[in-house]
Amino acid sequence: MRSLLEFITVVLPVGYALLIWLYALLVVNREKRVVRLSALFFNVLLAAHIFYTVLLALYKHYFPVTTPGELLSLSALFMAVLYWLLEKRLKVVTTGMFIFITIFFLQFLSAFLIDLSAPLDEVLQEPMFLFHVSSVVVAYSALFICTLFSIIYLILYYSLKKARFGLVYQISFSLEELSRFSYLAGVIGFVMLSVTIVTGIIWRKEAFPDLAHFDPQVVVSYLIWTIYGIFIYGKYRRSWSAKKLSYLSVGGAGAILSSLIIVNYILQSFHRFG
Amino acid sequence: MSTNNLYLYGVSHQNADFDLLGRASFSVEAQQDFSRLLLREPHIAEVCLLSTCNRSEIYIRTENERLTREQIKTAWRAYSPGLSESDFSVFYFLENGEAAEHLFRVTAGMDSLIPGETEIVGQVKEAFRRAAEMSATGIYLNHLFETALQAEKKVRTQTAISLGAVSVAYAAVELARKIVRRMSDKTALLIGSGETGQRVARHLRQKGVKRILVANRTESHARELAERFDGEALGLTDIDRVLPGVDLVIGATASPDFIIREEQMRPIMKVRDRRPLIMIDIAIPRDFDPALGRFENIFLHDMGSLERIVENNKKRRREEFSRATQILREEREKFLLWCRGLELKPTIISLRRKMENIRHDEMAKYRNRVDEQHWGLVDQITRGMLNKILHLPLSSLRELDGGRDDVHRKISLVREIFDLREEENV
Repeated sequence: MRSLLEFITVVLPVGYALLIWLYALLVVNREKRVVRLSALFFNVLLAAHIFYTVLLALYKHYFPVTTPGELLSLSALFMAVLYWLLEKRLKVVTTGMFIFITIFFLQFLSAFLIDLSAPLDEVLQEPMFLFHVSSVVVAYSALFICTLFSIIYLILYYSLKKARFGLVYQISFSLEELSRFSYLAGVIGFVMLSVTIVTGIIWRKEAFPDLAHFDPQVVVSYLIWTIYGIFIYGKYRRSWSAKKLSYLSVGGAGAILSSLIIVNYILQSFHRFG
Repeated sequence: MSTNNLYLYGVSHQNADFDLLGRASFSVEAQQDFSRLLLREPHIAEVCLLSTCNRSEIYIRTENERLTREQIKTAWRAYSPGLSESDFSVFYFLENGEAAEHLFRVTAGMDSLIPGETEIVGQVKEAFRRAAEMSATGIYLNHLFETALQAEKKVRTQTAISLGAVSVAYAAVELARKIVRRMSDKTALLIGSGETGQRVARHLRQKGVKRILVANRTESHARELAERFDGEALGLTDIDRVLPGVDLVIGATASPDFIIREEQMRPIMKVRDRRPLIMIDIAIPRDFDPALGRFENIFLHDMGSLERIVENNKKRRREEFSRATQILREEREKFLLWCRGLELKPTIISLRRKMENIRHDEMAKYRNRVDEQHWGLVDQITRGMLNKILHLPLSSLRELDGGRDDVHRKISLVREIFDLREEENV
């Protein structure tokens, strides 16, 4: 099983790199067999990624969300699943390239960081912890997609306002769709982040009752939660424009990035990986 | 030995003005008459004429004879007295592979005024259908035109040669679809009766826009236009009333003043509540105040924007030409290979027949000396031997990787060695 896992660990990033190439080809080549080949390859790769996650869980005897390598791979998987659903719904494949570039990097890093022999602390095997980490992966992946679509929205918006008809104008779908799916991803992200925070509080109290309450990661998570809360409130209650919401979403992404940098490289935090 | 020669003689917008193109063109009847005239020549086996407003071309196949530019020119001149000697100086004359590749390029829209346009495909199909119907084409030109149409499909699906709008009217629709997803729940307002504006409205109708409103200074004119697009007629004074519910406005009047001003839109934009409004101003002078573009949810575009989209798309299409040429070259090679195979076929049949006759004659000598039981076995053995003996020379003949002259040399050699001269007409 171990050699099979090692094999798929190498195959997955290579597969996603190939998928980037195939989707880049789709921008200019709409031949049916290329479209079919890309769809087939994406489906096979997605199935392989799911199989890899299940195999990893069976091998390690826990759901693989406890090390950075595992988390990155699960994030990549969730993004791929979300994009798969989106592609089925929209039937527009030209933006896939952007998503797959991100997925490739996540999976590539995961392949380097993943350690099949790493022992697991018992405390990390508790179901509440696994649920907490799984929900954070879903939340951050959804928020990433929300941000990506927001960025494309803003580029397309200004292209249209300033009559500059470059690459994004050529390959993107409409502003209306971009804002709709960015919002949808934002809502999924917000809900899952809420679940993450609640499960985090419960688990922490049970596992580390004596630990101090201040944790930079938690504080940044609250900040992100607040930003995306405002995002949803602004859309529903204040009818904010898609442009304003896109700026807010990009701001949220900035907060996520800062969180990762601050927590992992600057502050010694309870959440620090490794 | 049978050889096929393909000739193309013609003129196009690439090297002639529209006056000359007009004089060189053929009506449908004239195409048929001229084809019949050419087919009366004993060495001309097949003919197809392609005559559109941008080109007039004659595709001819001959057997065993070589035609010259002068011969075709003389026939054309005799048929079209309106063409002077100097007119023919810009005509082109292409042979075999070059002629085939030219037809492939023409069919793929690579030789058209608008790169990658698809109208030419229908014109090529029509020219081929007419020629085939009057039996002016045979196996050779049929295969040539079928290959051209297949190659065109390949180019269109494997490259971006026909992607993106190349007319101002369609660019307006393409632009609108970058802002809103579905047209089926959208309302468009056409102000004025300019030709391009009408074309935009027609495209929008084709894309399934829900409602088209037509506003004009003259109400009777508005009604007439509205009927054409299955829309509703309005007066210019009704514009403010309908603007809150409209998604796309096209300005195409001849008015010297703005029809919609910034201050006029302020209250309307409040009512619209952030719903995007696409404003396409194709009037000269402008119908819409340029200051309208300052509103966050108004996407204002004029002729300049649309022309830029068209130019970008044309440029992108041209950038695909090198990839398209590569595909067409492959198709040309396949076609030439098929042609060589066609020339080879009579020799292969002759050789097989000759060998088979020898086998039969030899076997006949022993017919009485072999009993019925063993006769079948002898027949089987000799047939097997013959096949094995012929395998090598036939394989060598079929290796058509050499040029056309190489093929002819091989054919001549085989015919000479096996004395196939008497069996030319198989």
